[in-house]
Formats: sequence, structure tokens, C-alpha cells
Amino acid sequence: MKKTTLLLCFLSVGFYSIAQIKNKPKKDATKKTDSTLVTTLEDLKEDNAASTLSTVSLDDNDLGEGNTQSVSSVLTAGRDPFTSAAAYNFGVLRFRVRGYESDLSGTYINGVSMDNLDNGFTPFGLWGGLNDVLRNRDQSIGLRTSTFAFGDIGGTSSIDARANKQRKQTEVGYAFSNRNYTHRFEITHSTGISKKGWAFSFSASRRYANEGYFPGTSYDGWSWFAAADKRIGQNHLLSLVVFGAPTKSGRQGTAVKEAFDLVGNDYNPNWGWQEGKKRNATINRTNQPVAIFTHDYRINNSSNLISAASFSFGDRGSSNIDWYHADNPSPLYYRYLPSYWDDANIKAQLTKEWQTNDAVRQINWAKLYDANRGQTETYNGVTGKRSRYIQYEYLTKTTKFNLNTTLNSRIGDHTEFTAGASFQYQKNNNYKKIIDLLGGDYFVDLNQFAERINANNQSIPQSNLNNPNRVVRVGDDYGYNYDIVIGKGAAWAQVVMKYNKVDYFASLEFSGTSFYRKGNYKNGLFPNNSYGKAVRQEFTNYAFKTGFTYKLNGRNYFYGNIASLTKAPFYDNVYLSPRVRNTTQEKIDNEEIRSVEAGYTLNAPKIKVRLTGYYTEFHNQMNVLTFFHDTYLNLVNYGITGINKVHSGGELGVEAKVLPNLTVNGAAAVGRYNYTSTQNAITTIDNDASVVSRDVVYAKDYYVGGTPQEAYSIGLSYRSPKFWSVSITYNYFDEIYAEINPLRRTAAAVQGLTEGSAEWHHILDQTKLQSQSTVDMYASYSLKLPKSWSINKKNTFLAFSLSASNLLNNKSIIPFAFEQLRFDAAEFDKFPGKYNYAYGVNYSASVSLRF
Amino acid sequence: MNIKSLFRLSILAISFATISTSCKKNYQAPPEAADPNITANTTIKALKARHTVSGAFDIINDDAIITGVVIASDKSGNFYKEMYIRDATGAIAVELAGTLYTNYPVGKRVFIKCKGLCLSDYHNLIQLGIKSVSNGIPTLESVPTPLIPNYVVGGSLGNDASPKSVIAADLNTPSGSTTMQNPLLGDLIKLDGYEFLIGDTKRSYGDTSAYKSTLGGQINIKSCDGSGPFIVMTSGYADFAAKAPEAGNGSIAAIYTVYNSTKQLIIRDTTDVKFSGARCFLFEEDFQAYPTTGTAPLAITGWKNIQESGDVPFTIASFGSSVFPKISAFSSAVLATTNITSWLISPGISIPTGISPKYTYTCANRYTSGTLKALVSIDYAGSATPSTATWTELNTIQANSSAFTAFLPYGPYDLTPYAGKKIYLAFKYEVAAGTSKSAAATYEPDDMKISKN
Repeated sequence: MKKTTLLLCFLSVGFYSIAQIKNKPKKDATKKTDSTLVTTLEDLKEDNAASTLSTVSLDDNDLGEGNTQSVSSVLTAGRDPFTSAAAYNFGVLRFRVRGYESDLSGTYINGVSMDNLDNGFTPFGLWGGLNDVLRNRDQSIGLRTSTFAFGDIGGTSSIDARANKQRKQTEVGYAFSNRNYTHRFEITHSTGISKKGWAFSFSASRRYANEGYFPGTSYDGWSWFAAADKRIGQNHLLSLVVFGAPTKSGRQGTAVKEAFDLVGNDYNPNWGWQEGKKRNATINRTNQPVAIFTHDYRINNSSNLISAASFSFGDRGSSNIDWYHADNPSPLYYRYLPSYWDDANIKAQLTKEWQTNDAVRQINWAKLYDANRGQTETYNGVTGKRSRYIQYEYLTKTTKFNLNTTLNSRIGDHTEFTAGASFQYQKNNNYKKIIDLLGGDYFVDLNQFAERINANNQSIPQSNLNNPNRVVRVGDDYGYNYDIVIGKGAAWAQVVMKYNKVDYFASLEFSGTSFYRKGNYKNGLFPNNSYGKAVRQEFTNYAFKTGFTYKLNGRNYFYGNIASLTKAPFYDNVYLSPRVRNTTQEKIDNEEIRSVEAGYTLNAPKIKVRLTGYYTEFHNQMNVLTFFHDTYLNLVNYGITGINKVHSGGELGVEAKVLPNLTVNGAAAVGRYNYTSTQNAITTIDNDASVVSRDVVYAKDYYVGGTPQEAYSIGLSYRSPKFWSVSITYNYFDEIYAEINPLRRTAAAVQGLTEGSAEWHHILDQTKLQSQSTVDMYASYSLKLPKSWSINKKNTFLAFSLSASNLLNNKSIIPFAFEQLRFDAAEFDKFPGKYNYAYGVNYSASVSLRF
Repeated sequence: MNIKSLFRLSILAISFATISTSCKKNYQAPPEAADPNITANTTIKALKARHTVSGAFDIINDDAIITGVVIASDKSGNFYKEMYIRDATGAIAVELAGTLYTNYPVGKRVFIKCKGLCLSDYHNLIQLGIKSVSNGIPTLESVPTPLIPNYVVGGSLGNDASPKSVIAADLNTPSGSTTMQNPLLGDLIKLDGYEFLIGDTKRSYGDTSAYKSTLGGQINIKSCDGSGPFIVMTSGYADFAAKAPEAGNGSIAAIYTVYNSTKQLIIRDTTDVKFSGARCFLFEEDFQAYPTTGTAPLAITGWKNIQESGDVPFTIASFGSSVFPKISAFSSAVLATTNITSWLISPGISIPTGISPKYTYTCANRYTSGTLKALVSIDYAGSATPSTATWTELNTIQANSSAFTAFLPYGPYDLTPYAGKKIYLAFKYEVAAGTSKSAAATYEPDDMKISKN
């Protein structure tokens, strides 16, 4: 209720602003009334550095894909006052625009979609560190049209990284930060287009940290980029870009509240001492270079055809520790924590150890080495020290190619026609690979969980019956090995009609998607449906959207759009346990989405306002959750179907020039994202073919977690005519919920408990996280060096910038949390939720030289 | 791009690469296992002697340090949260949580800083652990995994952990000692010339049912000279729990434990059992391994249960802890008109030459009309009419008792004449047609043995 009032306040502010504008003289009025609202980074480039903010993009914070999807990049923000606030200020709490999942927004580079076919995410890490050459962006917001794609309902951006679009200059930069890397060097050189029609651009950057913000985290990244353009005649432009960003980073892990209380909010359970050095067990690694070839063909003055082909290959992986008949190596194993024990003396001893002893609260590498070197064994003809612990990487080798062509054509005075077709192919090879035997000589590829089923059956625990009892060493794959092959074809068309007062559009897309799993191992538990190709899953989908913009005058726009579409499910929500077998969900459905948005935009010289309301329904979503279950003593898969959700809310962005050099920015996102259906869950065990149970999940009315449902910001920005600027922003987040564990919303979970009792509430109530606030600042100064300092007799600029976030050093920000999936109904506190904390004060200071 | 700019670019690239120093991490492996600089100041025997009252919790408040070599750990799962160490004076169970064999494999020397730990006993078996009070009830707990390094320091690998050879009498509590202080308790011992009871060889080591008995499976060993039986205890969680024990005779190594006053042996894994030699007897059958059948016929692989005339089969019954074949014509539907002739015939048994084997068995009987003959044949070929083979009668029991007799011993019967031949042993049950049901004899033959001499 309070929130509604707040939103109403914003609304009235918006209308008050309109009234204000109306009364002002129309001197500054934009001349044309048919301007569309697409904002581009071309505009941004004309501004000084303040608009580009820190050159450290938020992307860099997450090499792992998908985590900061909503804030695709600061650089996508454009000048839409709401979108820029969402991108610049809301990232800390993993704010997702409209609460949408990451697969509902997309990114194109040079005319091809970069999104992964396997999960719909944009793999930002693939071009991390290349901000200098990826600045030129178009963005479509919400359900609006774009000139390059049908577009996702969460927005789609298109990056133009072609050589001729890069400003002719050389830029050398250095940044120092206390975030996930300490140092960044970058260099970019672009030639501009020559008389012969050639243009080249090169960029490289290096980012690293021996230790990032959190203890034990590290960063080691290189990025490279090369682009060449050749203009042929007046009408053809051929472009080639290749880039890559091989990166390794030691990660921060999540932990339970008890551990944070004992160690502090900076606690990172992922590392441990090894001979005087901090070693992180969880290293994310990626190296997936991309090549894109683009043909830009100007057919005539009113038509343009852009065709592009891309190819990408490489792998990404994340390491961890595997173990076989040995103690859990994680310090967070529940039996290692003081709370597991009743005895006061034992509790006190453990508490003291947790407060002071890194050998207890961090990974004890020495113990792992000791275990591996303790005994020599002969196994399958091999004699040596048999490792009980190994460091492994679960990795995905990807091969991906895309073909895309888009025609943009103007027909008459009022009609713009756009049509496109695309074909995408992606093959992921997933497996586990040993990267360190930790002092041992070999490891044996057996499934220790399956061994419990029948001690006398030697074939059950085999990961691969085609190669049983395999002795494996560094570099070998083990555990599981399967391919996912996905193909997608799509065709779309869009008509935009522009008249004096009203613009209309309608867009339609048809697509077909198919995928299948191909097992490369014959699993001992599932000899009949683990090896070879599974049945191909096929889906046909449509998407339709239409809308209008009513242009009251050159400043006031009203618009409304609706969309209806279906989406093919992603493979990991279809295969219940793709690691070991082909089994799928029993009922496989397309997801259905219906969305409507309406809003008002004010685009005046001194004030910009955008106010939007939206309502989006999701039907028939599916999900598969996998975790270790205490009762079954096994990896358990929950296949959930029939997930319906409604996301509704309002967005407000205001940017007002209160003084010639002083701007006030405000943004508010108030949404309600709820589950609206009872879901169905089937439970299967990785080590058993039968369905263990079928449950109804009473998820209705629970909140969708993982993003604040409310986010507000208010900021002041001063831009001096003497080439410096400073801005400060206050942000406030509320209505943040932990993502629910569906198991806790079943009849079985509360069986035997009195309705309304404390235990009953404890299991059923959704965890609400504390509201949070942050203060961020940004300052920049750009200096044109005197002639005597000029390089190559060119104008030479030296630019400084400082971006600092969370100035109040709020160390209790939980960016996201989930109820732990492992759940013990008898002892519901045994597996509390895990989460981590965001950075306290963090900054990045940079200096760059341009000539 | 002209040459000059290319040149400048390469200069920049080189300087860029130079400043971007690599930070590749190389981790040095931790040092190999070696004895720490710790000296024990007391012995295991002296430490155990501090625990005098069974069931008491004796917290160690001084800086007592013991050292010992691990003689049993939890590798096979037969021990859980427990390992055994010994020095020259004795051995003790050390209660530690988590997986132990990985960091405390057999042969590893360990040093235990006992201050803060607690001595207690599990039904007379002394254990070193940590005292825990839960809901007011004290127990001796395994030391929580994160605390183990505070008490236990690992040393060198590959120390002598061979079993101590003993004889049955050594297991008894020495005079002047208490059961609890018996110095052999907790130690790794070896007995020679033992074998599992014949019935136990047909069972598995442990209880592998879904509801694993926490006490584990119990099977028994004995020696040819009659020592034993001793219980060999196995946890249902041991990885060999489902295995059948080796049926021969030989040596067994095990941790010697006690439950109140009952001696129990716990093997570390099946390699501790080296029963590959010939058993004490040429042939034994005690029927202990088979479930009782009620009125259904006995069905044992290799054995024949034949109703040559009439409708009375041998069944399997039990009395007390004893299991045996049983036959009675009481429930026959045809007794009034038909002679009852039923056979229980053993599988073929090869009699070697050069020895003088003797056959014994036991039998209980009741009621008055009928006979049970013990027979031997060398030409029985599996026929459903055994009478057609040649049988030599060894003994006939004429039932004549209103109450069940004890299991009376019969024999020995000399089988020397059958040296070098394969024989079949049979029990033949006969009751004449027209005998009243209530008079029809019941027989319970058991414990068939052929000795070597």
C-alpha cells in the first residue's frame, strides 16, 4: 500500500513536470515530431566523459554468465533516464528490469545475435575488457521496435563494432580498482576509413588482481580485438571482426549466516592456504573467441540489407573439488559448524576455531594432499597413490555459428518495413575434467553415490560402461560427457507507419527450434538411455507485437504496446538429468508470454521524463533443480512444470536540468513479481530410473526472488564547462526476496505440523531480505594537453575518472539469496539458506590518453 | 595503415605487454608426511589405566601425550568414526568424526595431545574421545572433524602395523587385571587354524538389509581343536558386508574387542581373513544357514528331498538357536493306506585315500512308530526312487519316546572302506501304512560331520 502511494507520488511528479513544461516558452522545442525514441550511443559519444561513466563496466564484475544480465552494460544505458539509472545504480542488488529473467533480453554485435541458444543468456564475458571498441550501441526498450531484430520483451541492444565506426584515434588507459581486479591496462588504435576504403581497429586489454575485493579472489584476463572494413563502391561494406577475452578468475562463494556471523561479511569459503599462498578452489575460466563477418549492402536510397555470419568456438569452465570416500572438503559442511553440536564445550571450541583458524574456516589444502598421499593402491593394473580429492573443472566446449540477414526499407513517406531471417546452430560438449590430482597419481572414474545401491554389482557405479573402471589423470574427462545440439531458424517482419500525430507498428516472427542430447558415456545406472542420441525435441513458435505512439507535440508522447509470444523451453529445463541420461520432463510445453505496456515520455531540453506501466504474464514455464538430498542420500532432480508468473509494475525516470550545469536524476522501479499457479514437481534421483514422488508445489502468491521488486534512485550531477564533472546518487532497494525452494511448499514438507505454528511458518514463509541503500559517486576531468605535449601533432587529451560505489560502506548488502535446495523436513534448520554479501566501498580510478 | 603507424602501434603493444606482468600462480605441494617434533610422555597402557570405573567419563586435564601407530581405520566402513592405535604397551580406540583412513591410514604414526579429551568405555572397551552433554545426558563423542588437528597430529607413514599372533587362551583377561584393562583389547591380533562355523560360511559377513542392524552381523569362528567359537562382528555399512566369508581354514587378523564380557573380533576388511586351507572336517552340515520352511519341503541346493512313497517331505525347523531338518507323518493324508518312505540325501562327498574318516550326526525324536535310518551309497545317481541304488545301513533309530529326546549323538561310523570314492549320505524315514497319526514318529537329524581321522 505504502509503495503504491509512492508510485502515485512519482506519477504526480511526472504530470506536474508536464504541466511545468507546458507553461514554458516553446523555444527549445524539438522541431520534428516524427522522431522515434531510439537512443543511440552516437549521442552519448558526443557528450563528455560523464555520460560514459566509469570505463569499468558492470559486465566485468561477472565473468560467469547471466548474473548481471539486466545491467547488460553501463554503456547500453543511452539517455533514457530510467534505463540509465537501472544500469548505473541498481546493479549492486542484481536488479533485473521488470524482474525478467536473463533470457528475455538480447544482444547483437554487427548484425548477429550473441545470445546462447542453450539458456538465452548474453555471454558478456566473451567481450569483457573491450569497452573501448564496443561503445556504439542501439537499444530497444521493452516492447518497442528495433531495426535489427524482432527483439526480446526485456529489451535488445545492438553493438556496432565495425572498424569504420571506431573514432580515428589511439587511446591508452590504465585503471586501478579494488573490485574484482586491481589493474587494468588497455590500448586501442583505430585508423578511420582510408581513401581506398579500408579501416582498421585494434584493441587489447589486460586485467588482473592477485587478490580482488574478497579474500582469495583473483583475476587474470586478457582481451583482444581486431577489425577490418573494406568499402567496395558506394553500396557495399564488408567487415570482419574477431575478438576474444581469455579470462580466469578465482570466485567468491556463498555461505550460511552462521559462517558470516563467525568470520565476517567478507568471508569467502572458496580459498585456503597452501604453502603460504591463498589458493582458490573455484576458478572460472573462459576462452571463446568470436569472428563475425558482415556485409552491409545499400540497395538504394531507401533500402538497406545487412547480412552477417558469425563463428565462435572455445570453452568455459568452473573448477571445484571432487572427492571419493573422503570428508567433504568444504568448510561449510553442516557438521563442521558449531550449530551442529549440542555440547556447550564443543560449541565453544568450534566457535573459537571458526573465529581464528583459517585451517578450519577455509579449505584445508594440506589435509587434501595428505589424504591423497597416504596410501598406495593398485587399481585396474595401475599402482600408485590414489587420489581421494581432485580439483576438477566442469566445462562446456561450445561451437556456435549464426547467419542473419535484415532488410530495412522505407516505402513511401509513412512506412518503414523491416524483415529478417536467421539461422543459429550451437553445440555444447559438457564434461568434467581433472585439472589437479593434488598430490596423488591417479583417480578412478566411479560414481560413489551409485556404489551404495548394490555393493556386489560392479557395473552400476560406472560412469562409462564403454570404458569401465577407468584410471584417470590430469586432463582426462570423467564423470559425465554429453553433447547438446541446438538449431534455431527464424523469420520476422515489421511494419512501422508514421503519421503526424500517431505512429503504429506491428511485428511478427515465426521460429523453429530443435535440440537433442547425445550421450558420450554409457552410464552404469542407465545403460539403455544414456549413450547416443536422444529423441530430437522440436518446437515451433510465434511472436507478435503491436503498438502506437501518440505524439501530442514534440515533447509529449504517449504510447502503448502489446505482445504475445511463445518460447521454446531451454534444454536444461527439459532434460531432468542431462549429465547421466536422456530422460525428459513428462510434459514438455512451450512457454507462453503476454505483455502489455503503456507510458508517457517527456522529452524537453530541460527535463526528460519517462513513465511506464507494464503487465506481463508467463504461462507454462518449466524448471529443473538438482541437489543432494539427505533422505535419498543422492543427487535429486526436481522437474517442475506449470510455472505461471505475473510481473507488473511501473517505471519512472526523470532527468531535470535545474541549473545550467546541474542535473537532477530520479528513477523508480516498483514492481510485483509473483508466482500465480500451483506447480507440479516430479522427483527423480540421478541414481534411479523411477519417479520417486510427485508433488504439488503450492507456489501461488510467493514472490519471484533474485531481484529487488522496488528500486529507487535520486542523484545530482554537476558538469563544469571546464571539462570536469561530478555526480552523486542515492539508491534505495526494497521488497527483496530469497528465491523459494519448491520442496518447502509441498504437503509433505509440513506434514504433521500444526497449521500456523512457528515451525509451519518457518517452513512456508518466504525469506524477505533487508531493504538496502547505497550512495555512489562519479567524477571525471578531461584535459587537452598543450601543443608541446601533443603526440603526432594531434590534439591530445588526458582524461581522469573516479567511480566510487557504496560510499556508506554498507557491508550488509545481500545481492541475492536462495533458500538452500537441500532440505530436511525433520530438522528444517539443518540446511539454512546460502548467500553472500556485496562489496563495501569500492572504486575504480582511471586515466587515459587519447590522440 | 601506413608503416609509421604500424611501427608506433607495435611499440605500444610491446610496452603494453611489458607492463602487464603475468600473475600466474604456481602452488607448491605441501611437505610429505613426516614425524613432528613431539614426544610422548605416557603410554597407551598407562593412559587406559586411568579409566577404572566402567561407564565413567574421565576427562584428561594434564598434558598427557601418547603416540601410536594406526592399526585399524575406517577404510572399508567396518569402523565408523573410530580408529585404533597401538604402542608397545597396548592399544586403544580413538573416536574421531569424519572419514579417517584418508588422513590416518594403517601404518601412520599419530601423536595425541590428550588434554581436554575424555576416556570412557563402551561396555568395557576403553575409548578415547570427547565428552558431549546433550539434553543433560553425557556421551563419549567422536571429536568433531574441525577440532581433530587440535588433538591429533599426524606423523610418518608405513610404520609396522602387523598383527600380534596369539592363541585363544591369550584372549582371556590375565589374572590380576580387569576385563577393561586387558592389554590385548583394541589390539590387532592374529589367530591361526580357525574357520567359520559351517552354517556361517553360507551367510554374509554383515546385515545388508535396508534396516542394517546397528550391532552388525555376527558370524563365528572356531578352531579344529575346539577353541572358540568367537564372534566376528561386521557392520552392515562395511563395503564387504554382503560378501560370503571364505569357507576354508587358516589365519584371521582382527581388532580384539569386548562387549561386557563377550569376546568379539572385528576385521578391517576381508584380506584379514586368510581361510584358504582345508577345513577341520571333510564334510559338515549344521543347517544353520537355512530359513525354516514350516510345512513346505526342505529345498537345499545339492540335496535331495524325496517322497518315494507317500506324501511326507523333510522340512526345516528350529528349536532355540538350532536349525535342522525335521520329518513327521502326522499330517499325512495317505498314512492310513500307504507306507511312508522319505529320503533326505546329501550331495556327493569325495572320500580321499590314506585317512580313516568317521561319520557322526545328532538326532532328536519323539513318538513311537517309525524308523530313521542313516545310510550310505556309492552308486546313487540322483534317481527319484532311491531304493533302486545300493545303500549300506549305518544306523537305525527306532522312535520310542513320549517327549522329544535331546539331540543325541550317533556314530562315529567308519567310512574308511569308501576311500577314493564319492559317497552319498541319506536319512530314510519309514512309517508303515495304517499307523495312527498320533503315533507316527518325528525325527530331527542335525550336525552331520565327517572327520578326517
